[in-house]
Amino acid sequence: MFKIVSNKKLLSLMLVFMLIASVFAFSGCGQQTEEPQGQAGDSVEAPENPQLTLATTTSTQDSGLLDAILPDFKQKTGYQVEVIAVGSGAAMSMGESGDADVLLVHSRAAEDQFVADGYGVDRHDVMYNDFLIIGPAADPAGIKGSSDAAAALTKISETTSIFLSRGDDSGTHKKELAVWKAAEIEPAGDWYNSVGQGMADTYRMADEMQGYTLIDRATYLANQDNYSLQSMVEGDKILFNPYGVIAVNPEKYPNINYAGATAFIQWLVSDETQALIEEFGKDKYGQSLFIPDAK
Amino acid sequence: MEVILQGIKEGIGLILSLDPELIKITLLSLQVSLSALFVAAVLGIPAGTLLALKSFWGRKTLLNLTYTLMGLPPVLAGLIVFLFLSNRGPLGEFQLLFTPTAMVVAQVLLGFPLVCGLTARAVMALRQEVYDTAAMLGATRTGAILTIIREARIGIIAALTTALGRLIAEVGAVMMVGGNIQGKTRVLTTSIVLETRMGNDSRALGIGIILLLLAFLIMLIILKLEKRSFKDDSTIQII
Amino acid sequence: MTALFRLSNLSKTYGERRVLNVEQLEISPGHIYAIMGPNGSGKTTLLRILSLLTFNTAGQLEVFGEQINWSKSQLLRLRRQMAMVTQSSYMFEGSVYYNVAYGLRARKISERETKIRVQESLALLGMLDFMNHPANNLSGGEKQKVAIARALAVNPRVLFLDEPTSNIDPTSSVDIENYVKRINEEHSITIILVTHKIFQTRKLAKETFLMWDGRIIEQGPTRNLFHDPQDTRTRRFLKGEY
Repeated sequence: MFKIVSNKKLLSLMLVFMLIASVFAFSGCGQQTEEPQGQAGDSVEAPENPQLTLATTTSTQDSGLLDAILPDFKQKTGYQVEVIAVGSGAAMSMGESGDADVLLVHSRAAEDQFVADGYGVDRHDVMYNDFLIIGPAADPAGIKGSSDAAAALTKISETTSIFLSRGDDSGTHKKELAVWKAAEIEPAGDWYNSVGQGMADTYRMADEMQGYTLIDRATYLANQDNYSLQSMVEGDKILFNPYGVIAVNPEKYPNINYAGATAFIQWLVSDETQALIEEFGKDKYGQSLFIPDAK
Repeated sequence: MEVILQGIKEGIGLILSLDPELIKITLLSLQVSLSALFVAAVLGIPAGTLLALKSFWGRKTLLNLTYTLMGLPPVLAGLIVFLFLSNRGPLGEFQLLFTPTAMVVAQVLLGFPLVCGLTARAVMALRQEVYDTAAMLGATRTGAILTIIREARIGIIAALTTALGRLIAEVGAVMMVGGNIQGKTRVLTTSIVLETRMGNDSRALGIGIILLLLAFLIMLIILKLEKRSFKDDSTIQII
Repeated sequence: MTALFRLSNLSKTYGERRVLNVEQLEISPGHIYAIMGPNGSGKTTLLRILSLLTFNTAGQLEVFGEQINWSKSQLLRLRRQMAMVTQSSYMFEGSVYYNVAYGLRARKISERETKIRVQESLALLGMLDFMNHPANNLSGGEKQKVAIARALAVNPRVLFLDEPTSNIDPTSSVDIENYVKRINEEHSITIILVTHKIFQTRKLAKETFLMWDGRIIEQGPTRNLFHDPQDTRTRRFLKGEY
């Protein structure tokens, strides 16, 4: 015989449930990029502070590289990496305010400044990929196949073809501005759309608007099946995109996980990991998305 | 704490400097949300009144649907409108995506159920005697219904305020269908997201404060329109 | 003289319950009529049917000589010759003036004439000083006076009063009773009054109907009814046993 639960009982049951649920929500869960426990290899003893916060860029995140290689790091060292993906500018800002332990960004000039200002230490090259200019098949600016990025942007400006800019101070954005500078043009006008969003979102919008945009190869390859835009310009030296890893200076803040950051950097530049990086994407796209170049 | 204080300073600085870009963004926020509110009101107040007064098959279901849609997540409203307006969608030919028009449409989707549902509740809260009194004094049916709406106006104005507050403060829908394009579809909320992403936390906070001030201003204006004394806000005496 | 109201075999049923069952009723113009009876005897229902606010379930209803077919135009036309004041009359949000002017504006009467009639009605009820006050800030007694002024302003042939003094202080009650008497005498408005108060009935009503369980069990000149009730139930009612 079932007893019908009284309203009061139901209410208290719900409250208890909500309480338990909120306890779980707050028990240190963040953005994780590794797979569930129970894997062979949990044999490493957990480090003193296993929580490591990595600030990186949206392009890096969107490429899927981190999802692929971070589990290896956890397996080898026991560190749990929490990835926060924002623009390069914001990532470095997080480093300045001590909200991250280690940075993986691609904005060389800003990186050097960061270290010079004393916010970061142990900067290392990690890998590079390149950017390309993609655009609609119709190619109103007539730039397809060119390998001169500055000339291509000049043509886009002259034909006032729709162009989307990241507009968010990210590494990609800074690269785009560098190319405009090389072309000696200050882009302005209705055709130039500064969208202030991440790479994947910008890609989506560019496809919708059938416009040109600058995109990193990894994000392009990872998402191109969904969109109709095609590669217009690639190979120009200026479109080179080197990545650097920097540990946040532990002297600035007391609870920076410097040990973890060091372990991360060492792992990242190690031969095995560099090989992993090179492998990434080969099976899916037939080419590496990132070229390792740690020295 | 530092960031917060800096943000307040920055916000005041921004307002005082009358930064033209900021003015443009603020105006667009107001334009989009007020337009959406207007459409939502024109559609929602009669719809809500109808739901409250007329008995018809499916009324209960419609009412429940309206209440449910009151909680429509903004990002979902954005997604729905996006799918319709996208090049691949049924209305793609109109090229409305990433325009302020699309943003208004998405916000109407959010605001309409809110205005309709809360208006219905406001009218349903009135008792039969309101209609009886009007009818007995010789009002036509239309006249009596207009009187009912007038008598429910406090609740209806509360509905409009609630809706406007929600619209001006939401970011999911306008980001999705607007695209945060500088000079075209960038509004206060999407600016905050951008500034945060760029690492300019205090500037983001500054913009947030402007948003708050705006909401406060709107509330003041509407309460002024209400013209009634504030005796509604008094507490119940517990002695 | 044509009867104002004529009912035959009129009944009102809610689901299974029959709340009103009147075989024969005729109300002639000119007097004050009282309807009395215990709670649930159908007094208010009868009033609401007479004032065309509620449908009857069965039977014939004739108002001002017309058979009621409940059409919109007929309702509007007839209601505009009547007025009602209930136990605690609803005041519209706004000033006393707005409330009293409501019926006149509904009839599209000019603002100029509206103003005159509003002031006249308020003056009659001694409420002229309150003309610009927010109506809902008034006390119960004051509101009822405004309600009567509001009803009076539209110059009805019939004024229905549903326990108009049940909720208010004795002084205002007496005031209202006096006003009602005056309205009937000076303006020849027929008054149909539902009340609990025996004193009130004796003071005001020429003819009284006693209701019991949805039926009119006794009717007649007030003095006779009280002095020499025919029905045992009437006797019980007058003694307060019900």
